Amino acid sequence: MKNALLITAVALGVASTSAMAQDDGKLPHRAKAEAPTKAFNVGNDYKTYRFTKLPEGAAPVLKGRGDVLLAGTEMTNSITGKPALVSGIISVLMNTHDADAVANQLGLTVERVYPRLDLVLFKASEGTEMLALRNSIKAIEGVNGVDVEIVEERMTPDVLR
Amino acid sequence: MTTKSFKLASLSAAVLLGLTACGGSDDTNYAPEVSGQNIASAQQWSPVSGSVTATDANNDNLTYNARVVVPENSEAPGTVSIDSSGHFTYFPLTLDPATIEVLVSDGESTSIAKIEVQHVDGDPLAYQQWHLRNTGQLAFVQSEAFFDFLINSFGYTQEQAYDLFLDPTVSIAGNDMNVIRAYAEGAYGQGMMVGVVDSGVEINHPDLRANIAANKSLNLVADATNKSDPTSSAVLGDHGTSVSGLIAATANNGIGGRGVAPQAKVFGVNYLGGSGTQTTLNNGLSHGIPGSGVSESDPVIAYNRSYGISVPFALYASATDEAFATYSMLNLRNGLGAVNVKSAGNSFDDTGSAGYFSDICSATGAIELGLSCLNGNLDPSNASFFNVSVAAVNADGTHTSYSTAGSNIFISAPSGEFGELEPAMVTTDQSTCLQGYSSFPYGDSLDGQVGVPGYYAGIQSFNAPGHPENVSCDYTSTFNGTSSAAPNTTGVVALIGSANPSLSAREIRHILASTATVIDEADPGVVLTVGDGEFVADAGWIENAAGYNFNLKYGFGRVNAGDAVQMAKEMSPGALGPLTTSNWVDVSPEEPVEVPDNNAEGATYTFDMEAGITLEGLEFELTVANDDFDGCSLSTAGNDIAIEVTSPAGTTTQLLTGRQALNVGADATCSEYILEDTRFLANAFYGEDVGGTWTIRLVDTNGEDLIADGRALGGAAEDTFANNSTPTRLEAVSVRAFGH
Repeated sequence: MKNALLITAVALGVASTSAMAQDDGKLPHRAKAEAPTKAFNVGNDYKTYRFTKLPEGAAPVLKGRGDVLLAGTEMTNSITGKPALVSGIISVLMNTHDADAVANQLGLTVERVYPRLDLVLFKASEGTEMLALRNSIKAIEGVNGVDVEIVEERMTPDVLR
Repeated sequence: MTTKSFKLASLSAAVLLGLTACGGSDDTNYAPEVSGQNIASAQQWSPVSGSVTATDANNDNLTYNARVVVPENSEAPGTVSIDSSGHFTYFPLTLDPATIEVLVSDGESTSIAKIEVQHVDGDPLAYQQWHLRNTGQLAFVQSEAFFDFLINSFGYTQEQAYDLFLDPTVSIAGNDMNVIRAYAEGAYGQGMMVGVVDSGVEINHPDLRANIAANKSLNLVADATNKSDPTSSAVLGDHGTSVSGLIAATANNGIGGRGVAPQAKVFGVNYLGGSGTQTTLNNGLSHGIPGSGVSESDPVIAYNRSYGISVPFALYASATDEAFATYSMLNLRNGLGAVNVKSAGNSFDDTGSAGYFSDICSATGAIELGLSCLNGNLDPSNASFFNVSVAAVNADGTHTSYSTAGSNIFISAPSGEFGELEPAMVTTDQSTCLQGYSSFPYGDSLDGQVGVPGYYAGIQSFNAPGHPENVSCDYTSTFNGTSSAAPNTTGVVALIGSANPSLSAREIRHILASTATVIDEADPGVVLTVGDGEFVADAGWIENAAGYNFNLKYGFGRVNAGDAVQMAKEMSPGALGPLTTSNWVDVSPEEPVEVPDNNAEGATYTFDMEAGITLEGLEFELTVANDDFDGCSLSTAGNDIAIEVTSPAGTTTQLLTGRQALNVGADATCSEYILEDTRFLANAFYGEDVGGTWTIRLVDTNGEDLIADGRALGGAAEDTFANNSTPTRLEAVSVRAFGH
C-alpha cells in the first residue's frame, strides 16, 4: 500500500509540470520533438551519404569529391542515419537481347534479365566506378534508363506513432 | 441463411373485428392472412432475404410494407426492404437480434407478420470502425479511462479536463467510405488478391489467417529461415499487420473488426523488413515480376504501398521504379493490371521523418497558412501515373493534420489522427500482449518516454493490456497516417474488382475518380499576399472542364465504395479504350524564363500540345534553378517558388504552392538546381483533352529572409535562409500525357 501511495505521489509530482504544458490541448508525448542532431553537410562524400568504408585498394582521396561512387562502398545516409551500400548492381532499361553484348563491352556480369520489362540487372565488380559506368551505359543507343543500386532503408512506413 | 418454420399466431385486430361483426356475409372484407419464417442466423452488413406468404379471402390486391422494430433508446438493428410479392431483404447493421414487421394490406385491413432475426454473426469491434460505417462513434478515444487518468494523475479538475479534451464533434456520422452499400450490392472482395508491401504480415494472426493467400508471401530478409512467412519479429508493432487488417481482416468470425474487403486474400512482401531488404530485385518482386510467385494470371487487383520518402528536396525519378510500377499496372491479371495504391506521405507540417530543417515549415508560414510543407510530388513514385496517391482524412470529414498535399493526390480515404483525442483506425495488431502497439513493451516504452507510469493505460486505454474489448491485445485503436488511407482505398479497389472482375486497373482508377465524394466543401484554399498583389497558392476545390472536382489536399475526394461498386457493375470492360501516351515531349523555352522576386504576377511560359488524348494523368519534368542555391547555400529560392499550370480548357492547378520546404538542390546535390528534371503529376486535368496551349506561371512568393530553427548546414541550431538575390529561372520543361 505504501508503494502504491508513493507511486501516486511521484506521478502527481511529474504531472504538475506536464499538465501546464498541455494547456494547448496537446498531450505530452505529442509535443514537438527537438530537432535531430544529425546534419546534412556540404562535406558529405556523395549527396546525403558519408563514406564509412571504401572498397579495398580505393584511394582515400576519393572521399568528399562527390563525383565518385565505387562498388562496395559502405556509407551512412546523413539524413536518415541508416547504413547504405553501393552494391555494384546497375539496372538498365534496354532491349534485353543486347544484355550480353553490353556486359562484354563494359566488363559486367548479367545478373538478371526481364524481357517483359525490357530490364537488365548487371553486376559490376567491387571497386568499379559506378557513376562513370552509369554515364557509359546511358550513352549506349537504345538505353532508356539507368539506375545505380544503393541498398539502404530509404522507404519508411507512412504511419505516425 | 438458415431459416426456421414459423406459424403466424397473430392476426390484426381489424381482421377479428371484421369476422365477428359481419357474420361472414358476401360483402364482408376479410383481412389478409400472412405468414413467414423466422431467420435463425444472419451476418452483420450482409443482406439476408426472406419472404412472407399472404392470402386474401376476397382476392383483393395486396400491398406489402416492412419495418424493423427499434428498441427504446437504441439505434435500429438493421434496415429492411420488401417488394410487391412479399420478398424482403434485411440488412443487419448491428449484432443485435431484430424483429421485422411485415405489413400486408388489402386496402381496408392490414395484417402484420413478425419475423424474428434470431442471431447475427459479426465482428465485435466493427461498431468502432468509423471508416466503414461512421455513426459518430469515437473509436475508444476520450474514454472514461482517459478522463480518469487526466484527473487522477495529471491533477485536472473534471471541468478542466472536459473543457480541454472532450469534443464529440471529432467524429460525425456519415463520414465514412460508404462500404455498407457496397456490401449490400454483394461486393466483399471475393475472388480478389492483394499484395501488402510492407514491414511484414503476421500470417497466423487470428483475424488474418483465413484470408492469407496461399504460397504468395515472401520474406525478403536475407537470413530468414522461412522465406514464405513475412511475420515480423518486431516487438513494438508491425506496420504491415495493421495495414493488412484494414484491407482484409476476416468478417463474421466473432473476433475483432473486419477489413474493408473481408473476402479478399492478402499476401505480404516485407520490402520494409529491415536492413538489406530494399534492393532493386526485391523492389521488382514487390511488384509481381517473374520470380515473385505471382503469375500474370493471378487475380492480384492491387498492391498496397503504405510507405515513401519524405525529404525537403526534389528527388530524381527512377526509370527502374517506373518499369516495375508499369508492369504491375499493365501486365498483371492477364493484362487488366493491378492498381498500385500508395500513401501520400505525412509531411503536411514537417519536412519528413528525419526532421531535416523542420522549422522551415513555420518560417515560410506554411503551417499558419495551411499549405503543405512538403509537396507530394517530391517523392517521385508519388508523381507517377502508375501509382495512385492517397491522402488521409478524419472522422469529421476534414483533412488530417499531417497528410501531404499536392497536384499528384488522386483520392483520399479515412485514416484519422492519433487515436487519443481524435479517432484513428481500429485494426489488427501483432497478436498477444507481448508484442505490438497493444502490448506491455509498448506501454513500458511510452510510459518511459513521458516519465509518467500509467500514461499508456490512460491515454491509449484500448491498447493497454487488460482492456475488456481487447483481451488478447490482437487489435489497436491508434493506427493512422496515410499508411491507413492507402489500405482503406486498396480494400475498396478489391470491392470494385469483386463487383466486376473484368475491369482494368485504369478503369478502376477511373471509377475511383468518378465516384469520389467531395468533403470539406467550404475549403477556402490559400491566397498569398505577394508584393503588392495576391497569388492563389491553393484554390481549394475546383471543377475542371470535364466536370471533375479536384483539391490539392483530397484529390478527387473521399473514396466512395458504394457508388464505385455501383458504377463498376454498370461499366463495360474496355470502355476507356487502350492506354495512349504521348511519351515525353520536350517543350522547353529557348531561353531561361526569369521569375521576378516577390512579385505576384510572376513569369509565364506557354507551349502547345497536339490534341487527341483525353487525359487520365499529365506528368511534367521541370528544371528550375537559382544561382543562390549553389553550394548548398541557405537561400529562400526553393521555399519561395510557386508553379501553376493552366490547361487549354482553363483549369488551373498548382504544382508547387510556394512556401514549401525545398531547402537543398535536387537530389541533395549542392547545385543551383532547385528542380532538375523533377517529376510532377497533375491529376486536376482528368477528362480534358491535352490539345491546345498550356500555360506555366512561376511566382516567387516572398521577399524576406527566413530564420529557421532546427537542423542547419554545418549543424547550427538556427540559421538564416537569405532571400534570393537573383531571379529564379525556368530552364526546361517536358510533358508526358496519359489517357485514351
